[in-house]
Amino acid sequence: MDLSTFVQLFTWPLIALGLVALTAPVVGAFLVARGTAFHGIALPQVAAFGVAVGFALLPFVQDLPWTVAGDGHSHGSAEPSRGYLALCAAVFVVAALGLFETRRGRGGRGDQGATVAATFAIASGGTALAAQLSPLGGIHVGALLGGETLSTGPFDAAVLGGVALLVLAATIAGWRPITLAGLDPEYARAAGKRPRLADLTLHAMTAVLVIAGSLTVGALPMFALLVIPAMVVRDRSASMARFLVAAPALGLASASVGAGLAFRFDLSMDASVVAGCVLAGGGAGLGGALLAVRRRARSSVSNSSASD
Amino acid sequence: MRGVSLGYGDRTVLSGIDLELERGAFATVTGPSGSGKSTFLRAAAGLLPAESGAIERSFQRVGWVPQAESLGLLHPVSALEVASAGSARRGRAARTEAEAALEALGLAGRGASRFVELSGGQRQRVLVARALVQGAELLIFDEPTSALDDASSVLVREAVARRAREGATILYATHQPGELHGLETHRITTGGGGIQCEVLAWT
Repeated sequence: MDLSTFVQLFTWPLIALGLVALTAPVVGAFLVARGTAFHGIALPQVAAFGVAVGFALLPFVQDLPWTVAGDGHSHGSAEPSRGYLALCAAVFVVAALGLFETRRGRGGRGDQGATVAATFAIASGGTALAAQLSPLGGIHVGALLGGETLSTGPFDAAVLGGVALLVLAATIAGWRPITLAGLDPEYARAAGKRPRLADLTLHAMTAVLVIAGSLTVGALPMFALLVIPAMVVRDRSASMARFLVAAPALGLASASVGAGLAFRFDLSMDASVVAGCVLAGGGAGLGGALLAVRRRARSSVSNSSASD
Repeated sequence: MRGVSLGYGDRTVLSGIDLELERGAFATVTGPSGSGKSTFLRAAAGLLPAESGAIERSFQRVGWVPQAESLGLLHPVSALEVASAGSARRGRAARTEAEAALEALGLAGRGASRFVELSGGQRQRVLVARALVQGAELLIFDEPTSALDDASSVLVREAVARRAREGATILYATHQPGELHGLETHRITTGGGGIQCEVLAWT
């Protein structure tokens, strides 16, 4: 297959992937800066758990008008509507975020980390159990977790476009209060800067992105794009503003490398995106290290010249 | 504060606090280590609720400079971003104001440095700058010079004195109340589970 055919065939998946690659690292930047990067791993799994439970519950709620898609049935089984699955995922993601927030208040970050890890474990096991109760759900969730970027269409891209606009608008308007609420919540409280509102804004951005992204491009690219670009560029960013620009730039580069790998070697798009994050991240890291070495070398040369 | 008790969980640190500070006062807070200075300051800043009694604040904006850094140091923030976080202005005006505050505290040209790469004393001065640019009516400092050398301590005291002369109300915890000679109007001493407030020069 040549490149133009590849792009033609997979236009909507590539657009969807690009939108996730642009927005997930932005949210991920805030999560990594707050030391809550594991949220980016746990929440897509929680969303998948919600979807699996939704499938398992469908026989009991399928008489409700908005739960079943299209003509209602395919191959003898009811097909759930996108809205119903999104609602199921949303209930679980919001519950998980609420639990994380509660544990942060009680025990501090260490306690929250254990809660997030336990949630991930429970969501993983729960997904498998719920999938066994609904074979159709098992197939769907397996695809969702393994990655289903290539099945995205114009509706999915439109949803992701709306989410991207929301996330970017919230970031542009609120990155300072969100940063301050994570950096120094006590100062923010004393100064009347409303850190809880900033935290809720970040949680809402995270929830909306994780739900939309997991249900469209799948959990696998979400895992990678939420965490890896931000982790790579954090220590090389001289300011929070630069961090919030560099992370999505590396995200887009990672997705491009991933798409290139998928095209060149006929690989799964979703796993290729993860590989793209590793390769692009590694390249960025190496480039940054080489630049640092060069700067130090120049600095020592100019110091030697000055002392001469 | 009227009949206020302060503590953490089952442990009451201070009790029976009856204190009223008027606008423009400069109160130093002294006392042995562990006597409740930080507890008292946190309550004044609105960070610690009273176990009993009532705390009333007429100040809209409070600038808070803690003793120990509680900042999330995973954030790749620059010194300028930290300092300008206190400003009520936006964009270039906020940056200009923060740069001026950093310069006054001996940190000229360090705005672009990552906060985490600064020394402890430099970080403390950045936090002082942040509180000063806030234009807050009440400024609370919990031993702001404890980690500073003599020259830096002088810069901090001069900056605090300027804000006091501009009419801000100051609560300033220190082990050396004499360092603020001429500025103090009240001296609050913690110890024995309570506080004593001495009026020094207040009209």
